Amino acid sequence: MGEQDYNDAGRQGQAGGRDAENDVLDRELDAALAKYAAIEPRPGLEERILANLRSQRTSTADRAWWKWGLAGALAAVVVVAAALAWISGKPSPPQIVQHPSTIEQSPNPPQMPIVASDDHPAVQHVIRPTRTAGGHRAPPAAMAEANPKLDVFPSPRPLSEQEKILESYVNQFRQEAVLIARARSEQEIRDQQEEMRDADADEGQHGNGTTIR
Amino acid sequence: MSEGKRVVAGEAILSGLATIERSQDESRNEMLETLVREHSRLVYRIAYAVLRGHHDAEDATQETFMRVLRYSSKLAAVEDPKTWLARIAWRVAVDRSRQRGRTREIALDDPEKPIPEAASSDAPADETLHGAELIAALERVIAAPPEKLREPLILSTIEEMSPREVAATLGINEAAVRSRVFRARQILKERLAQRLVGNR
Repeated sequence: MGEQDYNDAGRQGQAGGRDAENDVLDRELDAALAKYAAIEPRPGLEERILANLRSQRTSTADRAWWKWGLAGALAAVVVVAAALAWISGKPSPPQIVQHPSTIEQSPNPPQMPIVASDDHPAVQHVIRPTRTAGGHRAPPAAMAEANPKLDVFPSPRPLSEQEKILESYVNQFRQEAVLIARARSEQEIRDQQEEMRDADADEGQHGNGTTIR
Repeated sequence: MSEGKRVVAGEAILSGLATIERSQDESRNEMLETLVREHSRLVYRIAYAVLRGHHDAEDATQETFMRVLRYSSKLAAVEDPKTWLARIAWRVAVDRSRQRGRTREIALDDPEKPIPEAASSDAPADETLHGAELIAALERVIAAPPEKLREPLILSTIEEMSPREVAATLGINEAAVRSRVFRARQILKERLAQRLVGNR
């Protein structure tokens, strides 16, 4: 064999040797990497994680019950307030009975603003000086003259413009008024829950350490 | 009387909502416990692969499941819970590692370093010793490849992780995982060969 052949054979031998060495190194690296990753956790890891999660859930559930209780109380208050507002808007019959003459002389229901007039002195006995567009009131002397002494305290007042509008709405659409009050309270509950969830999500993004409480 | 009925009706609506919420919570709790039983080992191994310590790995595992608890309302919508969990575990472990500022090369006398299974192996003594030596050398050189190559290599060593899951965890495609793992192995082989030859 010529020198060239020896060189070629030598290079082939070296290449074959390097390949074999590479294969051995590949196998050993595979084995080492497998052992590198094949780590077992200490016994009882699952139980510790579950215990931690349960304690976390218990403290979260306590906060949730408190929220539901508060939401229920708020809803009850809103409904009762709506009902009381409707009731308080009704005129009281005993007060009207004491002034029969004024009732006869003012047959129209109190839906329009009534302005005191010299031509109808009797009307002045019933109607307190209401605010006009300019917001002016009748002088105090006229008020004392127009208002007889009553047995009921506090003295009943006629409804204001806004109270009359609310009263007529509740009279006409009683169901809707209650539903609106209820829907408003439910929306408040949902808003509070979202705020709590957002607050918790912000905590998770900052990556707090685990604690068992 | 009617006002009382309205109040009672409102309270009935609220208690009904509370019942629905409770049943949803119970199903979420069951899903969460199933995740813990099926995948806590995987989460631990991912954490350990990065942090290389039992205490740190367990803390990271706990934190991972705490985050899952916080996001438990989204559990039902998750298509692949295993990969989702792996991704959270990976991020938690990497964040902790960066906070500590530790490198992946650790000293041989580190008390938390796992002890190689040399004594109990059935292989001949000289091969077992060589295997232990190789693992020790690997622990030292694993930080040699750049982070972009090292991360897929570390995850691919975990037997529960397929290339598809490694790709989903890291947010890259499978071809990139294979290519980076190959290049990382090349670097490791060179370093290991230098160390082993130098030790002889």
